[in-house]
Amino acid sequence: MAKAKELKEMPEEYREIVSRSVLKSYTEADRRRLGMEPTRKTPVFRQASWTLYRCGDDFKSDYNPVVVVPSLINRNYIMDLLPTHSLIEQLKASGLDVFLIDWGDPDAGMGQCGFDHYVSVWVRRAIRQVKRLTGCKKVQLAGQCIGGMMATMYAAHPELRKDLSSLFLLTAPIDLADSGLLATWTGTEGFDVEKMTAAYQGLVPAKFFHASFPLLDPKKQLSKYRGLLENFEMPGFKQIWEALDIWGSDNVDFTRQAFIELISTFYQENAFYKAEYTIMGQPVDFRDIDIPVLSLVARDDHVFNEKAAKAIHECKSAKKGKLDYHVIPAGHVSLIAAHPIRITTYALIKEFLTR
Amino acid sequence: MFNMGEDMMKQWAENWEKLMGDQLEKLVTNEKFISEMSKSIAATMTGKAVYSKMLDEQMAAMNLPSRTDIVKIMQKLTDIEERLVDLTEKFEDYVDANENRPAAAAAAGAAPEAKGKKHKK
Repeated sequence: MAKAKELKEMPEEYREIVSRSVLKSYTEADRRRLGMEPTRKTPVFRQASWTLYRCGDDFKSDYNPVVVVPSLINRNYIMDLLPTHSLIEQLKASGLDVFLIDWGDPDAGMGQCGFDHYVSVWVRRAIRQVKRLTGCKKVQLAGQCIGGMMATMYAAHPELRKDLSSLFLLTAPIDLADSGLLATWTGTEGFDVEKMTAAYQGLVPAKFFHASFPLLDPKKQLSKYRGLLENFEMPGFKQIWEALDIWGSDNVDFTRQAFIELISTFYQENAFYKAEYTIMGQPVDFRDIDIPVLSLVARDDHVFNEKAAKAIHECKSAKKGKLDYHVIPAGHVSLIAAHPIRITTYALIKEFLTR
Repeated sequence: MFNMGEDMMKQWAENWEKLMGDQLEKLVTNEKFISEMSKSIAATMTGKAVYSKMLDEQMAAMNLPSRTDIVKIMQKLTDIEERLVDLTEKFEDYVDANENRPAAAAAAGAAPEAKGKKHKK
């Protein structure tokens, strides 16, 4: 009978990483040590809590500028996580002029700003600034997760869409009916978002809604630290693990209006899919989108399933053969930040945005 | 002396994770559990809102601004900033239009630019 391998002592560094992760005691020094956000960013416009950044040092480009709209729930640096694990770095290397919105930390005074305001005022204003700075008449709009949903709204609006030459969606939900566990939770009898947020004035704290996120994939949460230990010696693994953990624990408060709309209007009523949501007083229907679209979906997405994004096939672009749709065998963020498959993702994005 | 090997430890951890994971998955997909949890959170938050309202009234009785008052002021500030940026944009558009006017007049009669590729400038 083979003798059982003796239990190895856990490396001291592993204990330190786990301790930082459990206590969420990350500091700026940890981010610097890991080299997070490798791309230089210059602020070009600021208003309220949000800032528009121009990425990199060389702004010359043969293509329309790219404006990236990140999600509202987490920070935008998931798109510029670590060297060689950065979508922004790849876009810059492809010769694109990239602008990135940072939603920052909203304050209680912004509590009445819902998706309509984000899209019709702030995204529009960011695009206006980009057009002025670059002299281009159109931009290529990119959106990730809920940012992708906002980008879709922009591209669907009869007036706003005139600013766009193409649309790139990254794990962007459109049809939220039966779109996964979050849809199940919000569709349950007794899930009253007005009552749940009644005590919050202006902002819904990140800790309120992020408390439920680990329950979206309980098995992954339970095996989190074992996975780290088993792959500890793999080159680069602990750096990317820690960078993702820092990002995952760096959550942002939601404006109360946006939170209520997300749960009530988009999840419970599925109003965006039904073309019932209005931007600047006009209902927006994603089926009217008629510009080239790239939609990348994560097969193992624990936030939205593929069905939520697949609805983009109903737009005019798809019917005219202007839709590029790919399901990537990776997770919600690993398709751009961690998984080796990210190289394929980067290639698809580069090919689309530099056509 | 009994020495628990690495394989045994790994097996034990995997079994524990599977057992706990299965149970948690059952729990978070159980409609009755979610419904009761939702109602419980809603009731707690409604209570918190009532308590906040009572605090507001006490602050008002003492002629002190409450959190609600401060949030209202912050909303006004957000609105004012929005109006200011709106006006700045209008002014910029006006200046741009005036700067371009002589150039546009000079270019009048010139052939319009050919349309480029959809993505390209």
